[in-house]
Amino acid sequence: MFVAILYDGSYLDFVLAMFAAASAPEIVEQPSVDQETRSSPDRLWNVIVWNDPINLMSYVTYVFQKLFGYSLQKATTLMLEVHNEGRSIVVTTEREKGEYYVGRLHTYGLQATLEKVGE
Amino acid sequence: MLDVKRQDDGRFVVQLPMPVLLHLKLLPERLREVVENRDFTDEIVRRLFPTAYRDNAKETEYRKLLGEDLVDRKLESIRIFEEVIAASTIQLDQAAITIPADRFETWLCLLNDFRLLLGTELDIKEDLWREDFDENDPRAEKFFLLHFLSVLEEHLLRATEVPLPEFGGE
Repeated sequence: MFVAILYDGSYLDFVLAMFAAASAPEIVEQPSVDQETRSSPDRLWNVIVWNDPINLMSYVTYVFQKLFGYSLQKATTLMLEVHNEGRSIVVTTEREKGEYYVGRLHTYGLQATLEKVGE
Repeated sequence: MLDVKRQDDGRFVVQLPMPVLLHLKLLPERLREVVENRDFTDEIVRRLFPTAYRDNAKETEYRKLLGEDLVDRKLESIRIFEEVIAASTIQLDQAAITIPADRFETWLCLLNDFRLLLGTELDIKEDLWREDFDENDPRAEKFFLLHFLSVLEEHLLRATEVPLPEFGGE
């Protein structure tokens, strides 16, 4: 993941200058386990988020908070796990709910997959 | 210059240079073409429509059931993005875009899709892509656009009520 912090403006000024010069365009806490699935581990699926070099670290942290309701601390821990380890289990749940989460993560542009627990 | 402010009623007001607005008017059409064609031999399509399962049978089943949902959501997002951009105002060389509160999440997702599209086209594989990029590269304009959209996304995120970690300045 990538960090984009440019508030002091020097590099941003440079980028803006390039645009101005251009012509018009040519064209860790443990992962959450849903309460209702705690008693049936054989039906549990892990939702895994994978690292990629384009998504911003702040964006991924934002998505984890919005989608799963995680605290900043937990969202940051999971984001850093994705960044450093290449992947992180962000939630463990039933398959149907896992597919819902994966669909939402894909809508946000994150690479996410489902794996059955233990496989 | 770039400025992002969240109003009391939840609207986001983005001020940015005109050349960037021109790009933002063109990118939706490019993305629509990718989404409508969905040629999975294209790396951009595979990045925008990632697999949900490593197992081929499960993935096929998943795509059959839920794949079209993602397509529909992206096409609707493109429409909303264009609607917001079309309502932008222009003063001298600056443009002002107002993103209604109920459109923000959709707008943010699509802005990120543009970044994924550009980043994939630029074949970015490393986290430190900005440091590695040569400003004399013939693809420089695309790179600068990706970089600007990254900054815009960061500003939008920081303007929300959602707390974000501090990574330190550069």
